[in-house]
Amino acid sequence: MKLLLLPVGLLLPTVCGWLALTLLERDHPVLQSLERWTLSTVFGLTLTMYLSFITHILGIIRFTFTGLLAVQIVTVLVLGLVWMRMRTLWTPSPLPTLPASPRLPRAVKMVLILLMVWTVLKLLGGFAVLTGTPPYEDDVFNNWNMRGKLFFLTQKLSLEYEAGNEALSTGGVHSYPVTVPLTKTWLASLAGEWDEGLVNSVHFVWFLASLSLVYCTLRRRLSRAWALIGAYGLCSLPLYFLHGTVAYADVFLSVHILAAISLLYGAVQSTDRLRRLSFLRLSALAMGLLVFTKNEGLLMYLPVLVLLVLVSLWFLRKSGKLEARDIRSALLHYIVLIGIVLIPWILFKWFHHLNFGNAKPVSNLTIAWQQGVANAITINTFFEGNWIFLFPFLLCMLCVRWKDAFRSEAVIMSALLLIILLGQLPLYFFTGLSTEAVNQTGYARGLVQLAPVAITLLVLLTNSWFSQIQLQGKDLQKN
Amino acid sequence: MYYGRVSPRHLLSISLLALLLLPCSALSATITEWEFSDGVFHEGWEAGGNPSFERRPDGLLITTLAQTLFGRSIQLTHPIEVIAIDYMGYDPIEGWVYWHKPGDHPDDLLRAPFLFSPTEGIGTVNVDMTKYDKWKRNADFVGIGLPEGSQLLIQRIRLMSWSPREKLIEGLKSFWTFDVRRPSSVNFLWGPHIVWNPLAREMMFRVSAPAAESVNRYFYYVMAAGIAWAGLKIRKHPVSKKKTLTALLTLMAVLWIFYDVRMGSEFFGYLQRDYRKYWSRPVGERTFRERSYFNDFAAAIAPMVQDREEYIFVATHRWPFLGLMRYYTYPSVPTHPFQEDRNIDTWVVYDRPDIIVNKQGELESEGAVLSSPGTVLHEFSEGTFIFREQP
Repeated sequence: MKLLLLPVGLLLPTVCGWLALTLLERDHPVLQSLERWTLSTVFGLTLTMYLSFITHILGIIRFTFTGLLAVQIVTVLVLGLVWMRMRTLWTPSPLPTLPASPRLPRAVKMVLILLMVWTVLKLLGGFAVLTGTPPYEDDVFNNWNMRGKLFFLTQKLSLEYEAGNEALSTGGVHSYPVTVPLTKTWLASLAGEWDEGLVNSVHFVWFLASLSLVYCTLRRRLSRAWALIGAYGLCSLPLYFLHGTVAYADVFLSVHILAAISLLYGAVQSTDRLRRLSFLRLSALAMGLLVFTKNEGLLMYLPVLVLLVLVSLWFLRKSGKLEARDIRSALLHYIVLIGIVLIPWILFKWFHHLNFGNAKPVSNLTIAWQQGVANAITINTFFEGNWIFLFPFLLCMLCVRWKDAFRSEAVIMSALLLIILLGQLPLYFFTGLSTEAVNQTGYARGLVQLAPVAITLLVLLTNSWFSQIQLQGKDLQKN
Repeated sequence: MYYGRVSPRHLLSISLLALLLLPCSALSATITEWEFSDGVFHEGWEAGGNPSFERRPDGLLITTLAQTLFGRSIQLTHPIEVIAIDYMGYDPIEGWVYWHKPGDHPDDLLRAPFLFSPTEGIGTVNVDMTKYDKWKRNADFVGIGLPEGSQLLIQRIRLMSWSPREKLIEGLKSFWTFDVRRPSSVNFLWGPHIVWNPLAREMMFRVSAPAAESVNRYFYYVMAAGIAWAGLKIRKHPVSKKKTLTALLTLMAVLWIFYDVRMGSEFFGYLQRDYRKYWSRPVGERTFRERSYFNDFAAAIAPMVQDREEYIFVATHRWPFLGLMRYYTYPSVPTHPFQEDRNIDTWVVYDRPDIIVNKQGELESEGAVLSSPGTVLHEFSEGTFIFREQP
């Protein structure tokens, strides 16, 4: 049963992630247990794959079981030793308390239980499809799994392969960061063979991580029931769920985007200065690792997130919630943790003439009005079965609760969504990238990547509306 | 005098009761049909474009030398929603439905395109006229347009419509009719669509995009109605604001969950199909979605080509087979058959019954010799095998 190797393969990366998070939190831990382990797994995998990439291009290791394992062991040892040393110096403060979860009416409890059962059944079915069916979608056998298999067979970072019919596959998908294919290489090395079910199974881990992270982000602010509604909401989105059960990398990227914005949100909403700084350091790590996920991470999401960080820091300084030295410390962490991934990766790309766009170069795009884009976007967003009613509801809530959306801490999420979604529209309307919208390919992927943030924001705004209704009702009853 | 208010609940009950009380005769489709088999040629049919007709036992064979219109005047007592044509044809033909709107100038014909796909035996094409904006459910002339140089055997033509009750039932059934998993599902899922007759429902997801209306529109109508109701109620009774808005939020949540159940069921539909056709069957019998047994074929071929750097691969289509083949057999790579000086001795052939081994032991396709003599290493089915040339 090769699938049993999945937890084995996740063990060391998760420990690396746990140590990295704990070291960044220092003596002011802010992550609850579930959030800590979720982020440990997600960040640990990306971190160890990045370090494997670096040691490989420096000529220290090959992509073999021994090479990849050595990187993980050394990372655990180094981080572990630092942690053991620091632990003696730190006196950890208690974790922030979570909001109370009031007792639910029996009917509501029953509905929630039924929804959870339904969701678990779907998840089991999804896992069966992911690990038990042959490669089906294009990018599985042309990109993610193909490159993983290539690294596994050649034991090196090959940037081209014979694509068949005497054609050579270069550039394009080879310009993506190697985290996803290299994780598959690691699992295959562990098994000693290329096992389709095993190499695909890690996608389910990222999918579960996205559900867990939505829950944890909401739980920091809301009751258990509302946090569960958020996790259910994300899993109920048909296209996001489908992506959770195929070997594509958009859910993987979506977890990193949510982690980066969620930790920044944690920093802005935190009431304690030192905890705020912990959150900022963690979000710096999340943004650094975001670079090594997909090309969109670097090109689309990182600039917007950096902008949001700068605005948040300015706001926190202006409102007196952080001191000047705190700002300097936070900025230093962002610069170091982003730079440590960004600079080697950009140099590598530049040196190997790899694209910066999403498998298509972003240079030499001509500007002209593109027909059919508005119709395709409207249909995909509002009239297909992809998103249930996520986007119409979100648009309504952004209007109804505009103060909460734009004048509270949630503005970080609103801004990220609006800047990215509205910002990419001109690309679809005026450049050759319009095919990505007209054919409903790249456009829908963009929404998959943002779905966890969108659902988190929707639940936050709905909750604030619902709470206000309850309060008004009480006031009216009193009067 | 007592002016009673009819509550929405009562209105709904009354409407449902009225629907149930509709006469049972209204359940069946209303059909006007013309049968052309057994040498029958109905009066009233005329043709423009001077085609040749041949009466055959199984229908009327039409051969066209120029663009042809085959049609007739009609005086129907029922509307027309679907035009169903039973036919036989060997090649795809791009045809048209022609019609004349009562009151228009006699020469002013309208037309809509459709495709006669090649058939094995008699097939049926159902043209859902309701999807054409210009179609107003009635006509005093209908006809079929055929392009120059086409040949088609027509067995039967039916003009069909359905009762309101049957349409409603079909509408509900179409909401619960699922698409199948496709490679494009990773980019978009059509979701629930609605059509109002059984023939359109049968065809709904067989064409891309679905020949139907998105159900989301109706959900939005319900939401808009809910919002309007809440707005009015709060305006009239501000005290009930909490109760009303809670009811509105509950309505939205119920619609969301209902939609999730619909799409989740579609997912379980994919799962059931994979179980029925793939998981529950042994290798050799199982098929995987529209790719049939290709994946098992490629996996079985892989060890046989591992000692070759390249092998020649021929299949019905390049996509997705070439990429999949490479993925399964890498580092051995598939290539095309047009090799000049390169000595590639292994041929992998998938679903090409036209490629056979001739008496000399060479691969041959429609008289053209493709390879040197060799032997079939393994044959999976007719036209699907691995072949190696003799050294």
